[in-house]
Amino acid sequence: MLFDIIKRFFRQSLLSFKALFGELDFKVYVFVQIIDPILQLIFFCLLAKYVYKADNITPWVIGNSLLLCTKNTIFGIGFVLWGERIFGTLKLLVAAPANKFLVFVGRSFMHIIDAMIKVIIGLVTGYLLFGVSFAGVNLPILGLNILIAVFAASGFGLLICSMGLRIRDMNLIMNTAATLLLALSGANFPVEKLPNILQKISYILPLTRSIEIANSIMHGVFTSNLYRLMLQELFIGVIYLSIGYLMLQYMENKARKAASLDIF
Amino acid sequence: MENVVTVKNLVREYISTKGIIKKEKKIIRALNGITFDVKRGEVFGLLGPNGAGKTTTAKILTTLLAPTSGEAKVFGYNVFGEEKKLRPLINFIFGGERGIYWRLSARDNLIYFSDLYKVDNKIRDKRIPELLELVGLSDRADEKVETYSKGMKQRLQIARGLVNDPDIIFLDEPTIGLDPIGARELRKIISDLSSCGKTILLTTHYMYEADELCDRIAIIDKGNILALDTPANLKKLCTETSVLEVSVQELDNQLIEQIKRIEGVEDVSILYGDQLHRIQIQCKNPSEIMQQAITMLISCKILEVSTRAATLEDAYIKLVGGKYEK
Amino acid sequence: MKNSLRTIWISCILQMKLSFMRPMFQYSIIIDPIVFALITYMMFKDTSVSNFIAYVVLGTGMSSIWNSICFSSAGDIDRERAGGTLELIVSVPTNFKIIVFGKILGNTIFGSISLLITFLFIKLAFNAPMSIAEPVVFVIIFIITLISYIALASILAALITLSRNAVALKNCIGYPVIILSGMLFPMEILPIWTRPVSFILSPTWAVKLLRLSVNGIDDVNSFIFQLAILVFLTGIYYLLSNTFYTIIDKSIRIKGSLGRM
Repeated sequence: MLFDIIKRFFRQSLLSFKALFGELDFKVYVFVQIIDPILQLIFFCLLAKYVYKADNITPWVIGNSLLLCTKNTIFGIGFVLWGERIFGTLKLLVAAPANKFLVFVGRSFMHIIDAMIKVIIGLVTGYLLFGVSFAGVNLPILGLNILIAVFAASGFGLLICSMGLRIRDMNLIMNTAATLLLALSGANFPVEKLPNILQKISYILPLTRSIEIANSIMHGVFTSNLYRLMLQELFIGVIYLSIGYLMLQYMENKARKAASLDIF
Repeated sequence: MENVVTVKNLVREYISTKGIIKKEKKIIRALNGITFDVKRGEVFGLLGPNGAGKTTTAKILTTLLAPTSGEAKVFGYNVFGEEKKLRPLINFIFGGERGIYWRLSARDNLIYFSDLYKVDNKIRDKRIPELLELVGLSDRADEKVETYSKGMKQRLQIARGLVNDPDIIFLDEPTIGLDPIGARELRKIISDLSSCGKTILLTTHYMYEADELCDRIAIIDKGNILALDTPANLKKLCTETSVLEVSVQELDNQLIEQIKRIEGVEDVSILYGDQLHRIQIQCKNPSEIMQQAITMLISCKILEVSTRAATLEDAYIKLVGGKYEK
Repeated sequence: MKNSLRTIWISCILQMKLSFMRPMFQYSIIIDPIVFALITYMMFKDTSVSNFIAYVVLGTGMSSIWNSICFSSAGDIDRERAGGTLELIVSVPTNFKIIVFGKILGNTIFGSISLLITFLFIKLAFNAPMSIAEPVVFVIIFIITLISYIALASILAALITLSRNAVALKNCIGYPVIILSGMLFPMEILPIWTRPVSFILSPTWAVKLLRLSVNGIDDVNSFIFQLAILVFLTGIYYLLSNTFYTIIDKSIRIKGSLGRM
């Protein structure tokens, strides 16, 4: 019974991932989902190298690598919802007896895995191109940190995308969200440099803490403060996920009342 | 009458590749050497199932595709090589909702395409209101196309196809996806155009549409023309025969083979459906074989039995084969 | 000639109407440049780079124009294909090349607006001092730069018309050009083997020239030499794009890659 549920969970994940990227050409997937984000990382690392005349640009590699997950946690999850809407399967999902939340998490699961792989690709790029060193770094903790970061970013993605469903051009809201994270998460310049109000926003966004933690881990610094930050990030993720899920249900209900699931 | 379209041994192949790393090349023959003419002023229909080669033919004749081999001429101009002279004289409408800018109004769409067809400003300003009137969009001409219904979009396509007052219009499945009323309105416009003297080449897979509109029909399947004649003559392919139609719930292919062997039966075709299957038995005299056939089919849960004279549909099914679903 | 100009004009206007109604376009000419400018401003602030405003405004501005012209022009072809109108505009009596030129022109106008927005944003948000040493030269070079960008964009649009696969390319042409042409940092900091690619990209020279006209031209001969290269490259681009459009006319009909099969 439990085995069946788990099996169904993975099948759902894989199918929805395939449904999304199977539509796309494999080449398009590689270019859009991997090469372009890596180029963005290279660009900001080079910029940092020039601007700060820095030899060690590890912080930029770390920050921008973590940001790579937004390709999945915002765009991937957004397209899952968008796809359901376009192909008219959203109403099937609404009407299905299964627990919608589980179904939804199932659908996002592959994106979380894919996002982690992308972060790792980013780190490897940093190692190869910019000589980032992982000697003496606590890799399991770094891995845990990445997982939490991706989780929190997924929650954020869910919230953004469920709001986006009401807007006709979801690309707009997804891109804006990703750009905001690029600017405010502290990946490219310290959050403290931002005006006060923007700093506040930074700390309610996902990734800001994770990037801070990752940089400490890379320095070999490891204090109980980091655990506290990790817990906070996890908490942020849970909050976003909950609001996102409630939002999705609200949207669905509204759409059902207005009998507009198809245009919804 | 003068031929405006001449097609001789027209062949078109597509190369499709499969796989990411190991590329497999496959040549698909969409047109297998077809030959036909269209006379000035007539409505010529290409009738066939999906994938028969209708759209490929239409695209070649409208200069969108190059023939792989064979000859295709419109107004004596080669469609590949002399397209510069040809393009101002023709226009085409592909069915469906694509092919117009949804974010613009109907009027903007028409103005834009008039300009691309190099229509003189004075003529354009006079023609566009006429076209809007013709397709019944005058009232909403300045609203964005995305607010239109399917039928309105398709009618706007017709107007777009007329901005250059073409001598010949190619219509590729113009009524696809329309409700019966929308389709009827569109057919009315097409027959009005025909009475204005336009030559029309129409592709469709709706029998009724072809029968109502076309002067001559070519039945096409798998890239070959199976028959080419007036609707009346095509029907004669079957007029000698009648049809005994038996609707059943279950089907046994062995029984069908047995029915085919009954004396007097010319052909048997089956229309598969969700609820029931219709077995159509073509024969000279239904009453003679009815007894035998029904006895054979008794185990298939017969729902209805009827006899009727042959229609264009029967001619079509006889030619294309009865394995299409309605 | 008069006819061609009219076509260019109406395509340009139509393109601007279509683009402006696309929220994503509003994103790429307004939101993206502003955030991009914010990030680069924050990074350049408190550093030793002198007259960094020239880097920030020029760099982000040139990047947004590049993105707007190339990305949008390439994307537009793809949208026309998806909307079923590509087949229509290729088979009208008007030359396809001219229609595309009009579209790119429309995107160029919007792209220039985004440079202006970047400038205003930096000025208003940070009250940053900004000065242009040679305003007249700057404007002339800027116009030549736009002409050069249009040529590049029309090559890209041609490639996308020719092949559906080129759509993948469109998605990652942005950063390489921004990096290689040294829009935000001098291309000299890149490995030496990338140099040849930088040299054949006209934005490389355009950015150098623009930066010089902002900072002041010390060596007039060198300036004129670089300008000559920019003009020469732009000429080559136009010849190339012309060839592409001649090929397009035949090739797409033989391959049948116009529609969405």
